[in-house]
Amino acid sequence: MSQDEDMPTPSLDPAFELELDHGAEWGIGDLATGGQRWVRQLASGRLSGRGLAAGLETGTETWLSRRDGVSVVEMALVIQTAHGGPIRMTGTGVSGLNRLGALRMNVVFEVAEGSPHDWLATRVFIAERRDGETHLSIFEVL
Amino acid sequence: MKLEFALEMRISLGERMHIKVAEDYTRGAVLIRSGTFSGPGLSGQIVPMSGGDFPMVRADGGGRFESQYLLRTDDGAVILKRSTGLRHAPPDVVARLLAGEPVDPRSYYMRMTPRFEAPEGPYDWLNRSIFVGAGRRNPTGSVFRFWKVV
Repeated sequence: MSQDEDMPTPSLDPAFELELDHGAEWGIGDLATGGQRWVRQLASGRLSGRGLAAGLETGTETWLSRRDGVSVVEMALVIQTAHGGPIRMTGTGVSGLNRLGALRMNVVFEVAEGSPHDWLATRVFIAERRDGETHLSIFEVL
Repeated sequence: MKLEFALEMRISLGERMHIKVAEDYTRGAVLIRSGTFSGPGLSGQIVPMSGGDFPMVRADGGGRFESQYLLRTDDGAVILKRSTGLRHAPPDVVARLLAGEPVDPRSYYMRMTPRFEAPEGPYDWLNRSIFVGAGRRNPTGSVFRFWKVV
């Protein structure tokens, strides 16, 4: 198959840093549908970058750890900006760890139309957290 | 993080449908008739009519993709592909896209983040990575190129 030379080639542009402090953690256990479920509260945090500073209002992070050594990670949180209202951020990704730690995931923002930050809802993002770190580095997919 | 080319996909689309759920909420629906994919170490076909894209349609004519369908590799492995993404463009470009006209893919933003569930074996690397993609909408189908985040 020939590659389409007219296609744009994406690149990654650093956009935000999301510092998170984790709270309570729950192990749901082995699920009948497969995997072992973990849930962790996001207790506090702060998003910064690209002219945006916001504090964490609420959120959770959940891992489904499988026996192939892959964990599917989902994150959902709400941040509050100073002048642009609340923003919801969700992420889905994977980790090679069978415990809460390093991950890479895609990121989607939901923002009220007309907010100064509504451009976030028109772009695709990915994020990375390195093992042993507490912050996520978020990149815009250009 | 860097991007490493993983595969290109060419798909033929069926009828485009819209479900007007509420005045401010429209769900699109389009099934994938057929398609092929190819990249380093894997190639095959889209399983016909195994799924499609069901986008949330924005008021400005853009969309948030939510697609799901099956791939079958040339050596018989079946892989579930799910993807979320966005298409965003100036109003005149959106109008030309919706009219089925050929449009320069660099004149609009069409990016996505596919995820895969592959069986244990030669393709299970797809389960362990995240990917980003760029898309091109043609009058009768789409072309996607996907890169692994390394």
